[in-house]
Amino acid sequence: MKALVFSEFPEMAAQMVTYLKKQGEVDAATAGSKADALSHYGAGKVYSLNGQMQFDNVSSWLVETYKAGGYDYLFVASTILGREVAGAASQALGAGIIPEITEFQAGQSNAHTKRYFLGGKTVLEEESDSKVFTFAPGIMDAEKVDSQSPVTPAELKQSAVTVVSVEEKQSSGVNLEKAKVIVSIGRGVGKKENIAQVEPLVKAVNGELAGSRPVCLDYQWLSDERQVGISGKKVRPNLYIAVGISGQIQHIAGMRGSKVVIALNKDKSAPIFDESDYGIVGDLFQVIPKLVKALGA
Amino acid sequence: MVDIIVLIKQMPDLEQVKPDPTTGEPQLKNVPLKLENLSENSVEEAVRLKEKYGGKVTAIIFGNEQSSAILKKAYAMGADEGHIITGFKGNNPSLTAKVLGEKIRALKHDIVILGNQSADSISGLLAGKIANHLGIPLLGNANSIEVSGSTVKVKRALEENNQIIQADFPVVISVTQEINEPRLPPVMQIMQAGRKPINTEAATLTGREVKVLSNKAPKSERKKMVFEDVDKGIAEIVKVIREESR
Amino acid sequence: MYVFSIIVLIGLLLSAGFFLYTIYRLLWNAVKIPEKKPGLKLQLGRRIYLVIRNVFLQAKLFKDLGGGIMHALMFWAFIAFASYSSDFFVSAIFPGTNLLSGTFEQVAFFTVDIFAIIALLDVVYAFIRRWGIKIKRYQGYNGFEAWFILSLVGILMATYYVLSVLRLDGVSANIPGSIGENLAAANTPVSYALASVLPKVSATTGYYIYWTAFTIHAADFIIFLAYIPTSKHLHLFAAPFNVLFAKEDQAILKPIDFEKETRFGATDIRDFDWKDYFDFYACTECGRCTANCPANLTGKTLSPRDIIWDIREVVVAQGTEYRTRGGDRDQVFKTVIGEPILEKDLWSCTTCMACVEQCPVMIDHVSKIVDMRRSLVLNQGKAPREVIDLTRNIEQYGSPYTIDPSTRADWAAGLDVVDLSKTPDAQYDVLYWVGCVASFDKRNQEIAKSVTKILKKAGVNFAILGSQEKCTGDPARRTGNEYLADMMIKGNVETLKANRVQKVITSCAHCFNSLKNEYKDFGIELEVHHHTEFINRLISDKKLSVKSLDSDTLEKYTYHDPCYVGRYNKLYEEPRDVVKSFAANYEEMEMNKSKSLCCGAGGGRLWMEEKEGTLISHKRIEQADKVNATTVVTACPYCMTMLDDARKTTGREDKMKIQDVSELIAGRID
Repeated sequence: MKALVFSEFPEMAAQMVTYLKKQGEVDAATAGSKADALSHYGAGKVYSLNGQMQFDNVSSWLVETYKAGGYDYLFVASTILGREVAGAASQALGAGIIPEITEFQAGQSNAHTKRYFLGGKTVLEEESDSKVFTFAPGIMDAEKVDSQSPVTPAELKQSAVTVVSVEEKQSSGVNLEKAKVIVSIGRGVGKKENIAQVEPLVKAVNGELAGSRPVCLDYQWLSDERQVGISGKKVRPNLYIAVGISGQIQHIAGMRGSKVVIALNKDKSAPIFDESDYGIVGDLFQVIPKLVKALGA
Repeated sequence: MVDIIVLIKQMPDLEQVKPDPTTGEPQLKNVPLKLENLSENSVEEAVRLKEKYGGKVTAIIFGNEQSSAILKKAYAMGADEGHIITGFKGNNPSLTAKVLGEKIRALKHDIVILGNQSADSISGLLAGKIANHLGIPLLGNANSIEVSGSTVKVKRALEENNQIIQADFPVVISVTQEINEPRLPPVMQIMQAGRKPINTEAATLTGREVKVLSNKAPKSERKKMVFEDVDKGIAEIVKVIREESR
Repeated sequence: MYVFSIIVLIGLLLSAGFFLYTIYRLLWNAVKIPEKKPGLKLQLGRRIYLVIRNVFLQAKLFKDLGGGIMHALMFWAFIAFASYSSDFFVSAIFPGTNLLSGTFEQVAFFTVDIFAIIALLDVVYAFIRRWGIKIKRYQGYNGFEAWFILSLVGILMATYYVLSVLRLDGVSANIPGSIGENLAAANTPVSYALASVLPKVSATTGYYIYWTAFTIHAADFIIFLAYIPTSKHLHLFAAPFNVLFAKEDQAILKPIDFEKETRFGATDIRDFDWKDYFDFYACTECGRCTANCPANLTGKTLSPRDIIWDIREVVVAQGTEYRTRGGDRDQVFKTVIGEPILEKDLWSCTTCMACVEQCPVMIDHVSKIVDMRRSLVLNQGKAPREVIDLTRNIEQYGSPYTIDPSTRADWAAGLDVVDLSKTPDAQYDVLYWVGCVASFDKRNQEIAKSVTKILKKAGVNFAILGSQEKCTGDPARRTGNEYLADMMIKGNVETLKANRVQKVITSCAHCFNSLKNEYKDFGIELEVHHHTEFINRLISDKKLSVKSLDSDTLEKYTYHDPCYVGRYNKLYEEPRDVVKSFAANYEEMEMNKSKSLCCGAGGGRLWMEEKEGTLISHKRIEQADKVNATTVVTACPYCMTMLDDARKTTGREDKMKIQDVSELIAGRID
């Protein structure tokens, strides 16, 4: 199997390279300025793409390279640009595409894949002759190797889309994907002012504060970069503490990779308890102070 | 005057989808269909653009015989014309792109609006596919849209930054959920929607086969130790937290 | 005829003409502008009762005792003066002709003589209330009008005494047009007392004083008459009629016929009916409504008084424009929402009915507020985000929650409750309508379980609708979405009919009000009982024996009236009787029964964030704390949610519990 991998974020491309290289030869492409970061993960070749990346110029470069390089499969990390690029590339190739896969196994002529479906309610296991795939983020940790991949620069064509300006997001520097401990809050916290009562716990466990979709998007108690879930960040911390999160499937899909999950909820029948290793049923604002005290002792 | 095509889809109400207790497969029978979340944002945005710049909103749905209720919802929200293409047989982005792409080609279009990633299949591929199929630019993940003359400018919300990007008509725009809050349709429009004609045609194209091996609720391998005695629970959890947060 | 008679006659005619013309203009507005009809029923007996009670006996005014007594005395003084003033003007215009004579004259003069001094003291008291102790609800409202009218009243009374004293002194005996000359001195005791202390004047001085007082008295009256209909004192005439025309079911919402009607809700003054116009005209800006409005009391800008008054001003302004210039109605009548009525104020209303309850002239503020919400929602799809979410949930799931409707009866698992969705042919006597909050909300499921336990213990053969039960439509209705409410109600009516339901008990105050008072407009008559009422009867019928509290208990109880149980349905005593059936240590909060403070959840507010001012529920919890209550008893899942939350967020978790009436009893019948 010979695979071509693309992500504009080298860390995501590195994860895919790590995952796929057991099954064959893997070349990877990423943004030019970041290509060096991708050269330590065992890719046969690293392409550094120079130019303003848009859906059209990236996909056409991928299609040409895929054809010219005799690749069997094209993998793209599921990001905003990635999904657009993958869609366009598969259309241009006339090839089948399976999105958001979490597992991939190359067969004789067909590929065997798994992905979440129905908003994360089910896992769809499929076999197809598809050639293009988008990978759900956070499939595994990237592993460095001793050898270094050669970096080949490539120029992207002019896009039909003009970039007028770029404005950096007001970032609080939070990086949930890298956090070891996450304390995540849900609607059960009640209101924005109550977050102050959760913060001592965040401090006590030296974690990052995150939230469910309603908390981040609907009510905007937290900024959207702290949203965990199928439409937000997919996280894999060592410890995930869900505070007042009922456990809607859309949320579970974003934190399934966590090593240990603890849930605090007043509702005994909350689905989150089925997705947790440890749970406490009780009023949040009684449990949290006690827990913080116990941790301090 | 802007000719806007809005692509909408139907989905089962996920809150009411439950796995079969024995097979683990989702039970979709009797689950009501609804207008997919981002399709609602798309219609809303199309109607807002029409209200601002004038023009016409045409909704297209690749669905089945039950899709007329979904299309009526789009009518109630302000769509002027609607087309149902029947023959949808399950998630197949390549086929959907072809079917919708061919229909769009047959209609006047300056802007094609659709959601960036649907709430049920979460594939997010259609925008790229449609744009590629039609050979026109994609302004993806738009948080806001502005039209001047025949140029469209959008605010593209990316993971690490926001871009202001633009392109000339015709364009495909995929929208985020944050772009607007869909309106409650006014009653007059709901009532008129029931009387608006619906154009229905059957899809003639077919797609490539994807073999589904299984479709089941994921199994959780968590320990599920739930404490109702708060103090006991805290004693146990403190140990775990100390272990894992080192 | 004398010159002065002619002057008085002309003055009176001008004034009466102006008065009648103004009234004509106001009535013209009420007849020509509205496009909706109030749909009043004759109900003569009820109307006569209302007029006697609320007009002649001034009953509703005594809800504010000081102001009530002041106003009632003034009102009765005016009634007393009616005959005197008639006599005064008849004699002035036709000297020698007297309207009153004999016993009638004696009674009239006696009453007037007493009430004139009362009215004078009243005027002083009114000045003190407004400008001395500065009662809050008066501040900033029409100070000039109040000052002007009070002065007119004071002068009218003072000049009466001047004329009366001169009569007793014999000064006016030969002056044409003077009245009461034949009466004995003792017939007017106050004047007699005044005459005996005041120095006597010479005939000539007396003559001049007489004519001065006469002129002032007549002019005062003439000015007063003309001034009334252009000021807030229009209520002198509008209020009695408003009481007479009052609707039986204030704050109860009426359906919209979506097939026939084309204007939904109230957008501009065409959308209020003529009875609403009387509401506007009858308002005196007394401010009792606003002073009792939970939103206003917690720092929100919503003021029911301003809603009514602001629309009245629009009616007068746009009415005048339309009457004088005519033209396209769509051009003349501009929306009242946004300006002068703020959208946010409309959404602040909890529909608690405190304003309606307080209003002495029977204005219905609540249905107007909901009508304006209807306009926003039905015509423009405009509502706060939470209301839109609420609406979608009700539409999609049949409840305010994003929860699978098939799980509605999950709370009853293992309780052996007859569920008509599972056993449609089951025989039962009473339907227990659980309501969404008690069905789906953890804390409130305890209410459903408690009611179940009580009914079972008392041997009541009851059933639930299970997954067939849907939101009654009340939250949609109160947030203005009549279209959705209409759909929900019609669906429920079908379900109720299909299950042959006749008798219903419910533990939700909002479902209770809808099923009892509003479902009949949709073609179903049900016998509906609130669970407190039902439990109270079970106790008094000895079907339940409730364990008393230990005498050494430290528990102290108070009861919070849910608006839709109390003010809407006048169940004040039943829930209290239930609590008192076992607990002696009970104390009322500062605001209770018809004056009870809302919890803040009605009118769809349970699902909205309370961003402006402070929280209503916090204010209520503080009132409960003031009487040192350890258990606040309530009888509605909405109140339960709000108060339980307030108890926690104000740090009263350790010293206070919130309990539903049913929970209290369920815990004491084992």
